[in-house]
Amino acid sequence: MKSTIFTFLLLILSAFYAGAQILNGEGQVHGSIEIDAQYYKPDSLIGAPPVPEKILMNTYDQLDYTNGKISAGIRYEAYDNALEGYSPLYDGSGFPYKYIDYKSDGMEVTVGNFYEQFGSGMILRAYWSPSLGIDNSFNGVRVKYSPAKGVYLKGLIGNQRYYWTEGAGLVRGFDAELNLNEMDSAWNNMKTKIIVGGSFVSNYQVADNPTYNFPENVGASAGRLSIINGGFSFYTEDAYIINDPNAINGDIFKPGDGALVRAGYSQKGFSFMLGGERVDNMSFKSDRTATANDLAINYLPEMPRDETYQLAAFYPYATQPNGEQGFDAEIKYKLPRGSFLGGKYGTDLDAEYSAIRSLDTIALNDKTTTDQGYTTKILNMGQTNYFQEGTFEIQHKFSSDFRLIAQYDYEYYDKSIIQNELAPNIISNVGVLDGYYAISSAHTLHMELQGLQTMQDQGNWVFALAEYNFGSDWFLGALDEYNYGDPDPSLRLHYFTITGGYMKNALHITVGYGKQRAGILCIGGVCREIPASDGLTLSITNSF
Amino acid sequence: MIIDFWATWCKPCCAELDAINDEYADWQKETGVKVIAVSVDDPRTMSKVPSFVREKGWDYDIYLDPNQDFQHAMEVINVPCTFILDGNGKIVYIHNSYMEGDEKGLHAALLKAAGKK
Repeated sequence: MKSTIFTFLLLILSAFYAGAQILNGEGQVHGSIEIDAQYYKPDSLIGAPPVPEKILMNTYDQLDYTNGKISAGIRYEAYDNALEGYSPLYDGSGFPYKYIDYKSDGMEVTVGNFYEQFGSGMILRAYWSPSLGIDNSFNGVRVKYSPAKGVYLKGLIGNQRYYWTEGAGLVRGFDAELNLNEMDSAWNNMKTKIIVGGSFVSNYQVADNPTYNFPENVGASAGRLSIINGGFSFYTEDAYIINDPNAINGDIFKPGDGALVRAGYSQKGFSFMLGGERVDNMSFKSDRTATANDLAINYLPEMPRDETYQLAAFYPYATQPNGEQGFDAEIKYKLPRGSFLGGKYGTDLDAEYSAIRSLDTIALNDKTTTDQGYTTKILNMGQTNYFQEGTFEIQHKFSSDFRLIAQYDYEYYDKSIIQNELAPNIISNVGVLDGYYAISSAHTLHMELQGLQTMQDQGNWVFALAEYNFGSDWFLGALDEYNYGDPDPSLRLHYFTITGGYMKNALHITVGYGKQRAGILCIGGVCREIPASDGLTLSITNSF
Repeated sequence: MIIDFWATWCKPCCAELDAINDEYADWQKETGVKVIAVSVDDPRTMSKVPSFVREKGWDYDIYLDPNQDFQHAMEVINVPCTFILDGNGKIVYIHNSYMEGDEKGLHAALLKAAGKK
């Protein structure tokens, strides 16, 4: 056991990488290309609307240049027009991301567009997720400075990207992080590793509403603490937003607050993690009128796991910024190698349970221009059950050629809260069997069988997938998702898709033909609706 | 040096790192290779990474890249993505995705990079 964890120290690695290039005595160019295109056929039965353009395409193409202490980059994006499920506000093309970066002697200055995250992001996180259609990057200036060992300071100012324009609010942020073990040589060899951090973010937006006296400057602060001692780990972050009436919270003037705690113990072959969170009126955007995922300044880490299997991810949870509290517990255990049940390679067991409920609130009848909306009883759990999930997973490697994963998933899902539409609560049971078999070094087979059982919504589903990799570069696959239990027999439909592709080094080409059911894609509690579609898809990615 | 981009939620990534870990001691003896595993777990799951790695018993150097800065700098679009850097820091091998047995190809490329083959 000598694995080492370096937190937030990627700078060192990037410096090594840049350093390697200085040795070459010349600048280096890197880049990546991503093209996603689809030919659409209307299908009224599955709810795929006619697409007038017939063919749509998104592309993201990045070029970066590094020479010693300087780096610069540019990204071209085109949505000709935006794929179904992406906002039509993306239609068009341009260079939304351009930056110049200078790094020297513990100081780094970035001008132009940049991404950033303070702590776990509860008051500031700008990130790029093309699959979610999110890019809330800043356009402005950022300075990172390390005045002494273990002291990391960051300051930034800028406007956020809003499709092809910028948000109205001007965001200013400051973050300080102290790594106590790095700061003091006496602490250096201590077994206990402690990191503390704090940040402050302020958003300025002109207030010219005749009725409400909106605050022009909205401030938010957060503090965090991380302690690791051998197998024990503890992390907490607490955040507070001063009154921020906005479209998400219904223009109430109540301050927002949030808390996150995670504690765990681990050793080789065993780990236990416990997490708790509370979110109360924590939507923080750089435009008080913005909705959905637009112009978010902060990010609210989600408790439940991101399910990766198709049917286990059928009813994914989305974080409720106006208020929720929940917890999560996970135990992992590896039956040792050579034991009766462990076999030659051991068997991995994983059990996880999470539950999210409403806050316990009392509505206030204070219909004034500085409406507080409600008060919260902090230590009480709310009455409404938003989401519960229990997952059990077992993974066993039978031989170096054959591996099998089995998963069972129980879920309770309040569709009217999570998807904001009037619907009964959904209880579902999902079973998954996932196998990999290497026939020979150049031929691999991957098969999945999944079933979802529920009495509500669209009823039962079954999913089957077979993928065959050959010649180490090529693959062919087929999958079918069948809604055999739909209450309406005429809607018991198959969603059949075939895919094929070629992978070589960083190049990936995938072609698919078939139907895609309507659903929701969620990554880390942030979600995007995926509309039903039928047709031909082409995806190309490469980097150099 | 091998740089491997992974995440706790990415099953093929973990299968790959498990498979490399089974061979790691031998590879180190042969080539002196060092594996750096860069977790692109977002803020939601990054606090799980230390426990996750200890439970797995991986002997790698683990780096966290919660906002994907390094991932973007290395032009990585999807995980798992594996790089081999030779002694001069030059990228000599890139592989995206993992299927059973891909570690054999990685091993062959590693031997080549180390001038053993």
